[in-house]
Amino acid sequence: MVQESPVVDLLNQFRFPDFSERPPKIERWLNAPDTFTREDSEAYLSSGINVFALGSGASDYESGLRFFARWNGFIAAHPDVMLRVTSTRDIGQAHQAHRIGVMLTLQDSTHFRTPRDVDEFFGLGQRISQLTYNLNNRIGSGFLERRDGGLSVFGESIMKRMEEVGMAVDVSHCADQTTLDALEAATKPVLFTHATCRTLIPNLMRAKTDDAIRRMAKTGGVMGIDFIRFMVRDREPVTIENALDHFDYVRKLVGVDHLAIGSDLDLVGNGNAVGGGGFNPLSQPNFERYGYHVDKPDHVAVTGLDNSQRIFDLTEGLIGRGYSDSEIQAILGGNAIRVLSETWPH
Amino acid sequence: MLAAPMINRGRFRLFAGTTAEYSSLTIELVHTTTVIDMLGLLTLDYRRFLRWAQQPAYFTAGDLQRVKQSGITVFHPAVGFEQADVRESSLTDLSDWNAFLAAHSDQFQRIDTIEDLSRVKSEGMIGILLGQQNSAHFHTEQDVDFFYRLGQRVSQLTYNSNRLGGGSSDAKDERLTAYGASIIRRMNKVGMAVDVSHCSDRTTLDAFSVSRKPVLVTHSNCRALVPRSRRCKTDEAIRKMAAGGGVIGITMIRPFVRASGVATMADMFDHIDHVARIAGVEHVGIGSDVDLDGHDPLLHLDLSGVEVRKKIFDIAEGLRHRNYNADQIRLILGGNFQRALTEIWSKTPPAPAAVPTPPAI
Repeated sequence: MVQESPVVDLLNQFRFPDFSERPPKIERWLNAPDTFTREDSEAYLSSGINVFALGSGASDYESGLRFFARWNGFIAAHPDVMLRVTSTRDIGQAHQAHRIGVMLTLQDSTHFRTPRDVDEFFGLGQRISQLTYNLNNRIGSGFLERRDGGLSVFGESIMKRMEEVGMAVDVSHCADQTTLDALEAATKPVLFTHATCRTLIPNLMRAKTDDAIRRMAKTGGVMGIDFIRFMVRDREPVTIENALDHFDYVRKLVGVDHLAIGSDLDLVGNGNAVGGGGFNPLSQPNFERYGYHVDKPDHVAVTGLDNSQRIFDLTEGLIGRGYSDSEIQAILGGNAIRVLSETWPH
Repeated sequence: MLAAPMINRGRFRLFAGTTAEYSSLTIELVHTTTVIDMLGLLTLDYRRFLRWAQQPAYFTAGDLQRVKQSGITVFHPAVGFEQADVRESSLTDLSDWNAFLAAHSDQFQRIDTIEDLSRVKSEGMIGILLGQQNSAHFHTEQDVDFFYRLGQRVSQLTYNSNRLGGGSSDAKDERLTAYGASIIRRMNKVGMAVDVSHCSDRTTLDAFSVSRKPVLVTHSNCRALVPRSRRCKTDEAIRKMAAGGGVIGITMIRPFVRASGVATMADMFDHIDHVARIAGVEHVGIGSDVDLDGHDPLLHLDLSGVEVRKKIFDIAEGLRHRNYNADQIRLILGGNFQRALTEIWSKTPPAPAAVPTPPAI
């Protein structure tokens, strides 16, 4: 079933830097694309995932440009195995032609200095942008911010331009009021690319309330379920069963049409850089709001969904919960494709 | 494409809508050579390039056909930024090029390595060699690495005078600065080719002294033939460039080809002859500084009697009539630049001061 339908992971960072590799493989691949071997590509091709939406970070305009320069160069160097996803036709193509589909998306929108930059980055290949990461930017507030100021006037102008050019709006990390403001202002589907349900994990501000989920569904959006342990359950142990509860809950609340996958993990199951380097999420202000807990050090992924074959495990899990074949195919990618086709230009 | 009516025995019309003919030998020569236009633009219209990069559907099958018919295997479409934040402009330009390459990855290939250069033709791809006609975007030595990793493989030290040295159109002939020297050393180390086309005379000569790798003049002509043009290189510069293993790409910009009067391809060939005579046929190539459509005619920048989309065939045919043999023409069309780039990009220790190459013609 996995092989028969296009599978879209709405948040998959491809490969987090592992600093014990000197240098981290991902850095090597991006700096010298010809070092990405056939063996490397096979791991991605056999994962069952057809489209990886990168959800990278870019703190400003220049680092935004650099992100697109690096990734476009990387994808361009491997036309036989990689495909840049800028349309829903590309998603189909990645599936049929057995390619690694890469969607260039960001988990922040700070790189937009003005609404005109939205056009430029759309032109460089960006198809989804998350309005804020964890803190304030000029657009709105992330959930770790001191006070949630909601969507700003500037934020509204950015959202408006995004909708006009056809770049999808994502509010996964946005604080509650910012999330609601964006849903209110939206005239196109809004995405929760990687989130979980506040009702099932009540003290987690990163999770989305029922109200937010309903409003998202009303915009015609989709919610990718996140596979980070402390986003799925507030205590140990955390297994695939707990993650499946979130799928069940969203289905009950708004219907299976609004479910997708946003694993928030790279291919192998890392949730951030490893090997002692890179951005350390634990150092963020108000980090305790995440309610971080793990069963063993650095093992942030849900047990049973923490490896490169997790799509197959998830599919079996959904079968076990009584989802029909067509429902599963919708969750694996069909819903994401539908929603993106309504958001992206024709 | 070669299903053309026979005009005379062995001569064919290659391009629709033109009466120009080329001999089968010329056609074969071009088709079997890795042709490098060392300042070859896909389009002079930067806005059109941005559309091709950012709205891929605008690059039509017709546009692709035009590129493929040109006979050029590898383009080095470098432009220079001078205004405001050059680093940002260069970063944006390289970002747009990588976006273009991702959007058209089945047809175009970024030329990063020696292997890419040697295989691009046999793989049926069009090569894009990324460069900049200014190095003001290198705010620190680390920026050389930064931009190298985004695909930049050639950099012209100066357009107008900057922190690195002097430009050919400045009032004063500035020297290469200490900073410029440190940038050249870093470029040698990472494998980015140094280009001195727009540099002033003294900066040009200084660059040859400092660089431990061949230095390129991607697009300049001979001062001996156009004495008032400081954009053209002196015989001394050309010889010193050759002594270091460098190559000069002859351009088709009218004021650099001929001082006055009607300028034609014959005048361009005179520049090729001159370099071959004073420095050797191994040190001359093509850096046309034009695209496949030509400049706005009002600018009078283009040569007369040639359609720029066919320039490579005109060059090959013209050089055959000047008695260059096939091997020499292959060198001029691309072999020389390929050899120089191979040396520049190889990780072997840089060569000691080279022995001057004896003139060949």
